[in-house]
Amino acid sequence: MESQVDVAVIGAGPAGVAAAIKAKEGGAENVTIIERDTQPGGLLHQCIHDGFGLTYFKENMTGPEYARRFIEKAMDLKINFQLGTMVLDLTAGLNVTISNKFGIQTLHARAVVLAMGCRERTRHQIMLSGTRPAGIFTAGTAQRYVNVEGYIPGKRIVILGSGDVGMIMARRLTLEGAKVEAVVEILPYIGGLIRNGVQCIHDFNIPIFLGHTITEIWGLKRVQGVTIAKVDSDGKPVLGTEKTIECDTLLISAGLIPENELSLKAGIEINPITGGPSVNEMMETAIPGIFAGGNVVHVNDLVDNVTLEGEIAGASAANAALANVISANRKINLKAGKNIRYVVPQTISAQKETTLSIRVGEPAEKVMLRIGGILSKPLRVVKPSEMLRIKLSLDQLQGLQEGIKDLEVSCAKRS
Amino acid sequence: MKKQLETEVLIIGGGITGTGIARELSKYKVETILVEKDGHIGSGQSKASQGMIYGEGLLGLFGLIAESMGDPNIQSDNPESTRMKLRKEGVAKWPQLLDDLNIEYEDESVLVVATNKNEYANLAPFLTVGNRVGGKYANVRWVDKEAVFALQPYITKDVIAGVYSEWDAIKTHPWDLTIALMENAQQNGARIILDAEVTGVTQKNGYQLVETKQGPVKTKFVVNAAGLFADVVADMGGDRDWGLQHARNTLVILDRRVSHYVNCTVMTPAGLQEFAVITRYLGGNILINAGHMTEAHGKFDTGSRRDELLENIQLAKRLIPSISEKDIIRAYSAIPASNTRNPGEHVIEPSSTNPKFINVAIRLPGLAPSPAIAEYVVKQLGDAGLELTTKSDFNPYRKAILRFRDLSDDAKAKLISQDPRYGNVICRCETVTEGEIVRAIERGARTVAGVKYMTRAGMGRCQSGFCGPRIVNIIARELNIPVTKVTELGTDSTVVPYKSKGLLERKAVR
Amino acid sequence: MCPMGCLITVTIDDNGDILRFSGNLCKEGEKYAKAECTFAGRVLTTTILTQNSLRKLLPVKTNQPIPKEQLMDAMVFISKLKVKPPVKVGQIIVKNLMDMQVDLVATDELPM
Repeated sequence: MESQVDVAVIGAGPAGVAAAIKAKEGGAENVTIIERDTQPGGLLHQCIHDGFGLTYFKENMTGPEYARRFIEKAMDLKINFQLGTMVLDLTAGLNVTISNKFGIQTLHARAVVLAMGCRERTRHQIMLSGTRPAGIFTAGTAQRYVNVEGYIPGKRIVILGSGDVGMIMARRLTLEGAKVEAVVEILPYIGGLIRNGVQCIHDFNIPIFLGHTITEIWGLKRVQGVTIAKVDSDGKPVLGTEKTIECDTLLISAGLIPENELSLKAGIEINPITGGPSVNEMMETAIPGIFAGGNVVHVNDLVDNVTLEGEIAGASAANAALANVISANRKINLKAGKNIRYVVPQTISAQKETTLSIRVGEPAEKVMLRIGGILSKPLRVVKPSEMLRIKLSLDQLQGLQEGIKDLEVSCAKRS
Repeated sequence: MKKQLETEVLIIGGGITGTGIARELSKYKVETILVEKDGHIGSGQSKASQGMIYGEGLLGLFGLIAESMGDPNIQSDNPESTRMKLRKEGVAKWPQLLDDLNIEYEDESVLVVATNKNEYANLAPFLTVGNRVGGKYANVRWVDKEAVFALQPYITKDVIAGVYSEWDAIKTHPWDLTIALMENAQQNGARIILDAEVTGVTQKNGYQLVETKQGPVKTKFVVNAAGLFADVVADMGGDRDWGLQHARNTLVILDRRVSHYVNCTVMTPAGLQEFAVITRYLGGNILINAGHMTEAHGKFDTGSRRDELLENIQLAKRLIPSISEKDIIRAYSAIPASNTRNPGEHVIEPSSTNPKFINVAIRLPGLAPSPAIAEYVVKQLGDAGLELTTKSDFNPYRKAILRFRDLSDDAKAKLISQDPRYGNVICRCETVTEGEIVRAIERGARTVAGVKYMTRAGMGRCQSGFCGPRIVNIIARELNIPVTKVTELGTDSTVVPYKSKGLLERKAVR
Repeated sequence: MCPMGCLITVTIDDNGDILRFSGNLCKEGEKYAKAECTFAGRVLTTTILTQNSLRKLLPVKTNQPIPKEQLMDAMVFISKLKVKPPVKVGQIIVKNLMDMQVDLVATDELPM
């Protein structure tokens, strides 16, 4: 079965729904969101904790509440939702092949927005030594079981990684009656927000081992314990510092990876640093007509920013669908300089106001953020876990020299 | 109360040997039960190999060279030995068997390359294989540097030369073999009991009583095909003058995204200290068997160690520099057994103190000889007094397993219109549908691992991060058991043991 | 520890009166520390079991912070409840939870 759509959005998480709304408001008539789960909202449904919407709505909301605002708006706008539907293929020609219980369909789209989000780094990807028993989960999968499916993965838990997801699960499992025996973190500092360090770890007196890693997993059928050890400055375990912790469950919170299987199918190259497609300030990928926003482009910290990226992608997709050609005849590459891990978007036209998402490489204090010669901003503290969002006004961008191809973003210590 | 089961032949172990014997026995009017200690078929070493069915070509020789520590004077295996005869017979029987059982396979070419002087010196014996063995191996030839690059664009620029065998082996997914053999055996009347570890055997008057974790089984004959535990089970049945020792090597599976790094099996002519064999599975994932052969620490040493993974990747990089540990999606260790009485041979014989208890403790390679071993064991059972009357209605064929991902769009659409569950994709990474998962459970899968090996669901890059909870729900629904009783691997491996609020019930309000 | 990351030490005399702050970088820190000492409140977000619904759990939250010492007791209390559809976002599931002058409200809907 074939059909035409103006804008096809892949993923009904915060990026996708925001994109669809802006696409519809931007004039695209037939906007369809394709979502593999049976309800829209993406991972927000399992994020029952609060802290969402602080910047976008100036309210403190839980994940489901945040999702619902946008879902209701999308329904009001009569956006089509294809739930319980998986995208099997995406071509550079903007053909989207989907599968659900009603059959196989190919949507011929005028524009596509990729909003597939992220998957989690697995135990094997971080090469943890030991056996492969039942009881090893990535933190997000455990969160799905606890907050959506209605099951608790175990009663004595060890969590590897002190990012926000790991810490939030430490609290959640404690509240549900399990004992979190330890949170193990390889860096000498907490990976996520301090607020979570207080309210998730400190509040519950959960033992946290900074500067440690797991050197072995034990148990043949089900996890029986882990061995942890201190690490040196290279992150290597220090002999003699091993300690065994009995547990029946191991949660791995070792980072997120943008989910770009479909992007690869369409022939889009994936940037090795961000893990997602390189985009310009319209959130357009290297393939004309295919846009991307949210965690599929780079791992964000705040859902509010995911929404903003999705909105840009959606609005741009609508323009493309309506064939409103916006010629970006200038293409300036943003280069990551000192202490910058990456910048999104990777290229800008410098012809309109643009917000850059910048991730630093290492934590630092008293630094100067520089963007080419057009912006210098002193910052007190920067951390890799807290992305910077810097708006460049049209005035500032027009201050760029003619013919400039590259713009370096750097974050060095102030002298 | 567990019902008393009775049978004529009890096979202990659901690996390539046990299932092969079950299938062979099912050709006769013989009541057969197979008991498997884990929750799925082929759970031991049978799924851990690279899935190659090979005889005397380059792969066959590689095994020899590896064992002889790179001794350039190695002789080929004695073709008159029982092991070699069984292997040769097995290799000859497999093509028909693969077609009859509708098992996926491909012909595999093998390229041995030398990247330094030592390796170059070891190439000679590989080149003579073709002339010596002939037949399908007759196309073994020398390839110079340019030719190697033409065959393998991603090979290291340090390559000096190589030996190429255009047809060297049949490539399969090793778990497909055990599953297919057992299914066909069941089609023809054999029964299987999972989660049924054998705990003891008592000889009685006219029969043997085998105690298992699923209850006792009364049987006339026992076939001990317990793989890694063949020695333990042999003790239960009688005396033995052999033991088992286990070598160990670490294997790594790479993301399918890099499947283009090799397009046939590539390996170095190295000894036991630093070998590297890089294969591409049928599904596209690259499997790297590399490192140095060590001794296993016991029969459960199938985990992986970080330093071994790094060594594995290091050695693989010497052949294919693009390989990186960033692409690892899964790692494990194989602990193949050999017997202490004669490590170059299998043990296939009745127990000295119990003639109706046949011990079958085999060594590498185990896939190739399976059909021949099966016939050999059935003959021994016959010699021990088992009446072997052929069945006139034996059905050698197994219907092809439906794989949604391999169908055309039209075929997919048709399938969904017949059963909407085939439209519901559960495993995103491997494109496996609810329909296939339900079908796997109908075919006998009882656990998450069982579903995985029958469908590939969970074998992808996210390692069931997404599909895990969904598969657990489907298993619970189809087996009509609570989700809290669904297991990963069988007994004692429940996935999520507690219901929401279940742990709070035990806490009192202050 | 305050949300900015400063570790604040509060010295309290025998009467529970605050004598001295040290380690904070700003006035906000002093306010926060004072609040944490007198009343460390936490918004509780959790789930309630459902009945007669395809969804197995309804996410809920307290509409005000509750004393952090009461979090586990509240969890035990809530674990015994079951909620039936229909439920709208914001609907009060439990009024005046455990007499703390705080309501437990739904953060998602439970459709019929």
